[in-house]
Amino acid sequence: MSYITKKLSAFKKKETYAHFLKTLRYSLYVIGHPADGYWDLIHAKRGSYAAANFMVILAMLTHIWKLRYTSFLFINVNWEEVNVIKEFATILLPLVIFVICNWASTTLFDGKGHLGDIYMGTGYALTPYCLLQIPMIIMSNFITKDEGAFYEVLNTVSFVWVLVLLFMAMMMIHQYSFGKTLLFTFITIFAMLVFIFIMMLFFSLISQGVAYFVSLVREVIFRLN
Amino acid sequence: MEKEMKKKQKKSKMPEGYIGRPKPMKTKTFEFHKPTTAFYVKLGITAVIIAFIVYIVLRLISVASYHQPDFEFFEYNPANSSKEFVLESKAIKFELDPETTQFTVLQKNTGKIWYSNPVEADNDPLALAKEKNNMKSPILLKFSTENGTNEIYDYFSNSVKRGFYNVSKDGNKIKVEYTIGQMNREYIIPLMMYQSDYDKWTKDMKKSDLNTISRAYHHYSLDTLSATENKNEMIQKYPEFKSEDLYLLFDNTQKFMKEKLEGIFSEVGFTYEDYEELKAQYKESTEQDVPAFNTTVYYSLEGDDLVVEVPFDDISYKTVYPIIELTVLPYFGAGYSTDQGALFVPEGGGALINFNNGKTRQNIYYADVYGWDYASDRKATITETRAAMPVFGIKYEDSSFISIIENGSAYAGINAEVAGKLGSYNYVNAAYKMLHNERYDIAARTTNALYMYEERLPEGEKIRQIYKFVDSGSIVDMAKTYGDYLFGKTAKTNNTEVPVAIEIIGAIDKVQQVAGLPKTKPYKVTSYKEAAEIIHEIEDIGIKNANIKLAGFINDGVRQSYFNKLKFISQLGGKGDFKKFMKDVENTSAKLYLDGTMQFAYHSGITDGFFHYSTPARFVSDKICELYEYSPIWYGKDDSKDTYYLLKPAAIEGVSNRFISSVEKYKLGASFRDFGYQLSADYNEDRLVSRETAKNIQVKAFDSVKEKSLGLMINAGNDYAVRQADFITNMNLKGNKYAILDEQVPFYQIALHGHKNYAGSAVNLGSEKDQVVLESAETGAGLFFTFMKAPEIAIQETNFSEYYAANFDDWKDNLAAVYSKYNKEISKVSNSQITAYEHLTEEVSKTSFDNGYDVVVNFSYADYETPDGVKVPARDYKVVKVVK
Repeated sequence: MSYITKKLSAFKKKETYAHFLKTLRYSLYVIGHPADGYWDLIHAKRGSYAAANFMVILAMLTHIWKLRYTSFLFINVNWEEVNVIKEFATILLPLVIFVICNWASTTLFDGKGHLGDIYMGTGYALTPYCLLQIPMIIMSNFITKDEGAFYEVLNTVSFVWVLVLLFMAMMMIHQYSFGKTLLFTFITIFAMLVFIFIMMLFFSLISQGVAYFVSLVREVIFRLN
Repeated sequence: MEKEMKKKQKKSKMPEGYIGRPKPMKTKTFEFHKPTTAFYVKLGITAVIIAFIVYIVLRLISVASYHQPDFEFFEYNPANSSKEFVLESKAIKFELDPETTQFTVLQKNTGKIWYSNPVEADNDPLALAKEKNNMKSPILLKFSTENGTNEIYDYFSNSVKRGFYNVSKDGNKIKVEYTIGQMNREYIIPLMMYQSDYDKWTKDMKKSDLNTISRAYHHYSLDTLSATENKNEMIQKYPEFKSEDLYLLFDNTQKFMKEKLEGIFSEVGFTYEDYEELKAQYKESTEQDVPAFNTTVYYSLEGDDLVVEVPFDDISYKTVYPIIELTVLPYFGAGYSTDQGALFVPEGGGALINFNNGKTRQNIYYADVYGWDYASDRKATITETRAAMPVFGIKYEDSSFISIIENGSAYAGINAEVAGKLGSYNYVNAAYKMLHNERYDIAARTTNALYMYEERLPEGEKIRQIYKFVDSGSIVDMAKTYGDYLFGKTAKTNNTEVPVAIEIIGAIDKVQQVAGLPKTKPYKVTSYKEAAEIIHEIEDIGIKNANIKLAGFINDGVRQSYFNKLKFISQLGGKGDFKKFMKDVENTSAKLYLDGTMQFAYHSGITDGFFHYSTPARFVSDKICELYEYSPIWYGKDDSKDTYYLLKPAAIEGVSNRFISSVEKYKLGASFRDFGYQLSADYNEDRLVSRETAKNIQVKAFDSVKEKSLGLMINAGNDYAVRQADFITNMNLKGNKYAILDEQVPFYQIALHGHKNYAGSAVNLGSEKDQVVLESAETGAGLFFTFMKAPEIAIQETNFSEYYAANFDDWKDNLAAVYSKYNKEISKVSNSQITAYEHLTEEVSKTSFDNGYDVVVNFSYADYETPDGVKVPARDYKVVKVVK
């Protein structure tokens, strides 16, 4: 209880907000200077979970705004049938699986990063996505189909930037060499696939188990009739 | 103070260290503790488990005690039934041949003799032996065997030929009882006897009889039993054999011998109970359990009509061989390959299949009366077959008959077949579904198909089919006979203008965003206020006395949710706006009908009073009737669309009562979207409601509307509904154009015209320009339109693409043009009876009315000139006064 009240009371303090804004502003430094920025993010404690959470939430909202407000010239979506929860999941689930799998594989091989550090790094890496996509939503409503090339380029840039940042984050947080980071990027991707596979196996096993009992009951009912 | 002193003194008297006198050893006694929560939880769980076990046991017991229908054994005895079986009226003479149970009907006015079964069946060059047997049978019976395959038993080879029937005359009814099956006859003789039994039964017998018995029974006794015969086995089978001799009936005893024995034993008072008692002890292999059925047919005359009845209570069957279908009089009046004539089938308004039309590559014609029973599951839907009227017939050159199903029509399907496939006869008949079955899927992994069957036939119901004989070969006369049957001479329309019905669509359902989640919600296409504007505009156009159908105005729109109480739709303006709407249209000549769905529930939940487990009907498999939309592309169930539920009859009754009282409260007419059009049973084994009973629920609702003298509008117009309806919309004027059909005739329209107002499908939603108007003009029908205020784009991404052309503003001018022309021309004949109908060419038809007008309709894309010199432009119609 005291933990919660302590956390809540922090909201009343001015320093909390100052610290949050400071760490949030640091994300702008990180995206420009990834190597330096990520090293200090963890080792000089210049980042915060609050800022990382903020970036993740903002990325999810950006995704929704993109679906809702982007001009129909550039995006094909039936807004009436969009399920916001599902759309949140398309961002949140890969992120969570990535963080877990990355931590699980690097921790066995001299990775210096903690689970929280990896999460923070990933959160900060989403900054360019939000920074670029939000203006692009506005822009899409003012350009023609022919000028769509600008939109497409910016769209690609926003994703590539995020990927580069992620790569640098892993390198700095785990204190890996370039080659080792590359290797572990692939290992992480493989681990994510294994993770998804096991999850699916697990759910299908459970549904099979349930189906067995359902069919048992159905047969009993049939024989009764 | 003093007391304390005393105590101290007393204590001080005791020696030091004294702790009181020794207490008696405490024995453990039962003490009542207040029960804890854990105790209650455990008690509850135990009670639930015990209750479940008790329930299972009770269910098992109740299954064991299932009532098996009584089986009777009929036998034809020519000696007893030398009587003539003749029924006669002014116009017809019915003669039944007791040797074959076939009959003939003589139509006195024309001299035409109708045969129940083809006379030349045996000489049919095409038919195989099996089909010949079918031709000679009065009834065909389809049943299911244990492994789920269906088999057909004809009555000729399974009953008549074997003599397993009985004909009797009961007043003016002829009763024919049949036992159908390949079993051997049961003889009431002892199969085995111990010496004591033997003595008991033979003591009063004559010597010659004793002789006979000694030849029929094998006499065993312990002493004489030869070594080869296993003594122990015999004792095991017949325990009394240790002390008594034993008599067993020889396996190969001849039939005449058994008959003789039966006579002998009945003389000494051997009864069926004695037989059963001894049979129970008989341990030799008994006869196999073969399919066996009983049915009884009654023939009688009512007026000049032949009535054929098959009561369900007289039908018995073995539960392992459930009876699925009965075809009554399959070949009545069948036309031979040299005959001239046609079969009449109730497709759409009616259709003719000419005898020997050579379409032997086509499927047999089949239509379910009243369409599909929604309480039966179906995997795919390719086309809907439905017949609004349970009528079929056969016409020859100068005489014809129509057969009307009066009882059991809800189970019927109409079959018609041309000569050249299985035999040389053209026939039409009605087949009745008896016990309904349903595939039961235990699990996706098993491939075994298990079928569940309805437990019993509905009690007290019967098949009742009447045959009306018409003294001409004209389809119009046949239709008028049916019209007289439906309405008599009473009901007459009294229109000053052509009757018009206009449907206004209020709300449809559409997937919309609610707090970020897609949800199906009512979507406005015409608000209450806009509806009033439309009605005023219709009035201004000059359409007087329009019948306005307010569809989708209540309870979530056209796909109505469960009608627990009247709920106005907030998207359309809510209750306040509806009251304003009512006030606004008060002084118009329009007559308003509120449209409602009674049998189905879309998008309903507990808040609507709809309980997923208890409110819907059940399939035979005990599954809840959750119904799917069917894909027009692959015909299967479309999972991507929302499902809906068929309600149980009790709920349907509640819905219709509440709907009718709501309609009464707002002084509107009642318009049923499904009553009078769709009809469904409920096969829940605990509260089985047959389709025929469900029909009566609908009729009761119509009665209650009429009692309150409200207007009544229905769709499609099933025959049981047309008497009470004031307006029938969406009538199927033409029906499916199956290749086996030769000609479409407006049979139903001829029967209804001048008695009831009716209209085809919506003119503005027709597939081809003016098609519906031309079809309507052919018989002087009314017009029907469907409108909404919203533009077509509103129905995008919904399941209502059929309203694509329903925008009122776009159609306004067209409506005025179509109506004013149609009204000017057709109003002349809108109350008259049709006297003749003919096709001048394949695409030009001429209908004559009794007030001297002819309507000529040209469906073709070229102008046409009639022999009388009347010019009818392409795709147009003309009303002509005939000069005599």
